[in-house]
Amino acid sequence: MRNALSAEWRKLLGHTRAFSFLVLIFPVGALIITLMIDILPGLLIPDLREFNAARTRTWTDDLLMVWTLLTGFPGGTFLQMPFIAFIAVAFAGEFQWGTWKNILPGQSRTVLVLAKFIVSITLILLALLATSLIVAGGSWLSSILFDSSYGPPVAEVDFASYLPDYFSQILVTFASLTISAAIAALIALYSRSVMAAVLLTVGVSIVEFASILLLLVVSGILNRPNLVNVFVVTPSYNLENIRSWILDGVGSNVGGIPGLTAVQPLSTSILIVTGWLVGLLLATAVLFNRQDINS
Amino acid sequence: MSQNFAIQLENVSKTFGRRRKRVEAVRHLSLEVAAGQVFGFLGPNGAGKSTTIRMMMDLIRPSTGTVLLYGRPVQNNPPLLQKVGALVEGAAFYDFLTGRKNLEVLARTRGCYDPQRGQTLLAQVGMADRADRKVSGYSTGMKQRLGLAAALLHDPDLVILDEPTNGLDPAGIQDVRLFVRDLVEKQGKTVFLSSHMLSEVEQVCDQVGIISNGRLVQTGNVADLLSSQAMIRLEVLPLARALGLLLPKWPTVANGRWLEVQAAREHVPEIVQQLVAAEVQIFQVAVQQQSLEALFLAATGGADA
Repeated sequence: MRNALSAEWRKLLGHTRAFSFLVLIFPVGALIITLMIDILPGLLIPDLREFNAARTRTWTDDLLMVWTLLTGFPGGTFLQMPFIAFIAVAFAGEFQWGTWKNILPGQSRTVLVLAKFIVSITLILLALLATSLIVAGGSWLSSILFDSSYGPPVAEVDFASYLPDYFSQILVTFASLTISAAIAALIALYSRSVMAAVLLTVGVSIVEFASILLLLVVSGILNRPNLVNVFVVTPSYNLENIRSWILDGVGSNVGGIPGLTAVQPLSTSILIVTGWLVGLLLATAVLFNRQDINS
Repeated sequence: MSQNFAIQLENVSKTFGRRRKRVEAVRHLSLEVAAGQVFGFLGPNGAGKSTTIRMMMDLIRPSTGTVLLYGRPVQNNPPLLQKVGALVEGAAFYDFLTGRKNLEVLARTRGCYDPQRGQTLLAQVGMADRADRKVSGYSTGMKQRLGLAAALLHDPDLVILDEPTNGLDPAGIQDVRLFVRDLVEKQGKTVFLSSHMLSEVEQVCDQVGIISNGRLVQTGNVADLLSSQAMIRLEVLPLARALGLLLPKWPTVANGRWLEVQAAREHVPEIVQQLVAAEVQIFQVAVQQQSLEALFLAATGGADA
């Protein structure tokens, strides 16, 4: 496994075009946005300087921002698209380059799938971590340049409450990303196409989210309101439920949708999300192990 | 017993697609390749050569039958495949990496990264000075050379080469021939060589197998196969009577004043006796050894290699 991880790490980092445009786009984008929208205009335009000075920002929110943006529908789904494309390149790319035939005889197919998955997700998480630090660093620099407040002071932060919030948000984003990545990997191996993997993964996210509407319609037609509760087995619901339990202390009823009574306990949602992730990875490994490599 | 064989295919078949799209690429193929020799694998386009090679590499799973390498089934057996190096259907690499980095990634995947060995192989295949350029700028010949280095990275016992001289210039082709013989004679490896170039197979291989329409139609020692069939040229009179006598038993054609008979060398006395008994005058008899090309054409019904 270590050999496969090391090879995959070098390969994906070596694909500078995919890595730059699909992964580094977040930290680089955050840096450009911070410089071009926040800092440079403030330095050049006096009115904006005053506006910036009057702003109050908190690093506790800034550190969480990028992780929050990446969850939920539709914003999260569309922001995840570059990462989904990166996963698709990692998996379907081997078909397009005709290189599976070189690496498969030397390593187990399951190990190769896992290595690709672990390395891609690690690179994506590192990019997101860098993005959150750049956002917070930019705001800190802005506060120094424009003499604005940037709180709260470290001594005043209730870390006992902040850190669980911070890490639980990262965990929810991580779970959401890994499930999208597992769907993308499965479709990429099945379709052998980067484009198909990206479009179908986004399609699956849309269908999954829209399934609540379908369930509402069907339950109305059949006059069985409880049918809506099938929604609680979806990854979307359970991710939202985990977030809601951790941040608000109560389960999610998806904004009070009529008929949705089966609010899951936190542990059940964690189990369901884990089940989805393991199931998708297993399906990917099984599919790949049965596949003929003709390219 | 099976340990003496590097490769054994036992009644292997492969069918792609279903119903109307069903294609039988390989049919009931049984083949044994002894260790320590160069085995040439010949066949027309679409005969099933690459499918057979991919089954040996566990890239494609047989529909029926078993593929054994060194006496063990190849399916789901990566440790066994560590004994095999291959260049399958044209070298393909990560275009975005340099040649050297490609070798590094492949070696790391196999768990045998050794920069020194990589450098030695690059020098052996004449790519040392171009190894730090991205593969996207390589010609087909350069990729083939890099493919040969990649196949040997982990010092395999069995080397499978599918059209290794594609895209190479004449000097490069000669280098590969010497390289292949060197692998067997000096390094004790086994080479399974699939090639379109019949002269290449004739010069390099000890054994040969000919595949046509997914079936193995001829196999054996190259020298024995070539000596077993000969072209016997006879200058005779009257030509028509001689042709009528020989045609039922041997493929015979008239060519000017000559008859050309496809037959084994040991049939020459019988042919001559028959003609003499029928009072056919014989002026000259010439026995020409069959070329691999003629053997191939006879075995495959005239398909292009």
